[in-house]
Amino acid sequence: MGEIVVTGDPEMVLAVPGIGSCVVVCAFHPRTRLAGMAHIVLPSSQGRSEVSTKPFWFADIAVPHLLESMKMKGAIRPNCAIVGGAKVLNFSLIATNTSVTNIGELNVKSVLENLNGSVNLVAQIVGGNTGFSIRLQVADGILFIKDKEGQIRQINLSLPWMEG
Amino acid sequence: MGTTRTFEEALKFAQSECQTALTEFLGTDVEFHLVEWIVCYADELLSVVGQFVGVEEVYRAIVVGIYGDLQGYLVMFFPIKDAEELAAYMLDGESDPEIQESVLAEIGNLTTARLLMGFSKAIKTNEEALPTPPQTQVDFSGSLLQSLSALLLSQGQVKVFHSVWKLQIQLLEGTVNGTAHFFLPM
Repeated sequence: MGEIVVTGDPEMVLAVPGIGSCVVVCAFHPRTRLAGMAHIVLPSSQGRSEVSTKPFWFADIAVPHLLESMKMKGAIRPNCAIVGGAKVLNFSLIATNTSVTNIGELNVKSVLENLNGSVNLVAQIVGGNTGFSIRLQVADGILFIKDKEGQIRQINLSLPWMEG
Repeated sequence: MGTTRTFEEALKFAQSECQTALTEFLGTDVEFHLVEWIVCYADELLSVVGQFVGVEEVYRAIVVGIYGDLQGYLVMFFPIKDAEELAAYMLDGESDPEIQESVLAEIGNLTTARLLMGFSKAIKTNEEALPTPPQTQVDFSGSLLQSLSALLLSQGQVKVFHSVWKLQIQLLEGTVNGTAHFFLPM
């Protein structure tokens, strides 16, 4: 949680086992074969004391950092999919506190704002009230998204026509 | 929150309370015992709990939030098959999913109430604690834990006292296994 990885190692598979309200940004750049992933926990770093120790918890820091890290290695405007932002926990007693109950929704909104048209957004698998488990193969840019029923969706992030 | 000795007294008391209540409710032998307790960071829940449940496996989970002066969360995980066997035993074969869920929810209610009672007595507090209605659902344990981490962190609750409990319920056909995780923000 709250981590960023950028790699071109084709042996690597980037995985997040169980995404709920977090949003995972999965990026792949077809020409450079560079993959990136950011596992975002909260929408905004504003007013948070953890910014210096856990900066990548926050969408407003993690997303620009992921894109900048890829850009520095020549991966400009990567293909991208975002997964997560579900409302898995639903406690009725705190239903009036939107900042608590809608973390997933707020995460999605913040991620999209921070992507700000800097990527080719291939897929958004967000919202709902159950989680996903994902794997991104660096070797071929294929993203596997498994739901709780065991069904697996594949998204190809390596198609060159998506590259800007 | 308190000293190590206070925690251990609370845990011992809570264990006894839970075991008695669940045995009476289920009408069969129930073992409810502490596996370990740990003070951890809220963003570590996935790796800490991952030692006891498969984070990429799907479970029947019961989640209860506790609000008021004393705050916390109970998360119980049952393998799907075990949860079905338990519900079938309690309902004498009744297959209505809603009724099955209500039985599991009652286990969450009981466990939360007794754990709270144990902790409150041991740390001698009369703070108000309001448990939410139990939420039962089928999902990746990792998705639930990760969402709980985010919830804690969004509320600025960075450190958590986490106790892990093993639950074994003896049925005629075999044993139903589950784990309970009680999180108290510090």
